[in-house]
Amino acid sequence: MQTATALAEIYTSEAGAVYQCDRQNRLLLSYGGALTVMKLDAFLRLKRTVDSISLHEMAASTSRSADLEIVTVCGCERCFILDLPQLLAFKELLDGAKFMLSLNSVLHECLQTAVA
Amino acid sequence: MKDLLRLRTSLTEEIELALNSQIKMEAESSAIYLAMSSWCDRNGFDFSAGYFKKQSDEEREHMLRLFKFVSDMGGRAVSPEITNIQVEFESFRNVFEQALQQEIAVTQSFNRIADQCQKMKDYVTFSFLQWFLKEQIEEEYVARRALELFEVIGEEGTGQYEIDKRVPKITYEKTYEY
Repeated sequence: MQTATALAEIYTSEAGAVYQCDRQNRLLLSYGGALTVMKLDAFLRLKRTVDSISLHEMAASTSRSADLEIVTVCGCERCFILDLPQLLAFKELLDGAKFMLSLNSVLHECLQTAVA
Repeated sequence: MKDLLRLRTSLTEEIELALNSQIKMEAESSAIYLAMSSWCDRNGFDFSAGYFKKQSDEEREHMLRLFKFVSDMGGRAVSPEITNIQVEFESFRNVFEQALQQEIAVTQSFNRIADQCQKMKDYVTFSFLQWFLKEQIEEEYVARRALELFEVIGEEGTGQYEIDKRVPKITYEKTYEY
C-alpha cells in the first residue's frame, strides 16, 4: 500500500504554490497558509473568475465595497477574500501555474511527435 | 508528470469556451426566432409565424449538433442560460431585418471560431465547423431574400399579405455543391 503522495511542483511564487497529484489527477493550491485540492476544471474556472475581475476598476473605485473581492467557484470548497495586492499576487500565481500546465502539455505533444 | 490539460479531451480550453459561446448564441437565435414567430402570429402574419417557428427549430438543432460535438470530444458542454429575449418588434419589416442581422452575426461568429481553430491547429474542430460554414450560406440567403420581398412586392395595399404568403416559399437552390 502506498501512503506517500508524489506531488509535482507546478509553480511557486511568494504568494503560494500549485502542485499536481498524478495519482488523484488533482491540483493542490497552497495559498494563505491553507491547502486547497481541486480538479483541473475547478482550477480553470477559478482562474477565469480571477481574470474577469477588473483590477483597474477596483483601484479606481472609491467605494468601500471595491476594496475586497470575494472569489468562490463551483468545485472549490474554499472562499477567497482578497484585497487588491493579494488579488494581484493570486492572479500571478494562477497565471504562472496555468502557463506551466500548458508548457507541460506542449512538451508532451513534442515528445509524442518525436517518438512517433 | 501527467498532462492534466489533455487527460480527458483534446479540446483546448479556448476552443471549448468558443464552442460553448456558440451553443449559447444558437440557443439565443432559437429563442429570438420563436419570439418573432409569436409576434407574427399575434399580428396576423400566419405564414411568417410558421416560417420563424421552423427557423427556431433549426437553430435548436444547430445548438444540439454543437453540444454533441463538445460532449463527444470529452469536453464540458454547457446548457446555456437565455434571458431578456425581445418580445415586441417595430414592424413586420423590422422582424426580417433583425433576422438577417442575426444570421450575419452567426456567420461572423463561426468565422472567428474557424480562425481560432486554424491558429491553434485544431483541425478536428475546424473540419466539424465546415458543415456550419456551408449552412450559413443558405441561412443568410433565405433571410436576405425574405427581406428583399419588402422591396420587390412593396408593403402598400395587400403587399404585407403577399409578402407573408411568399416567405415560406423561399428556397435555396443547391445548384453547385461547394
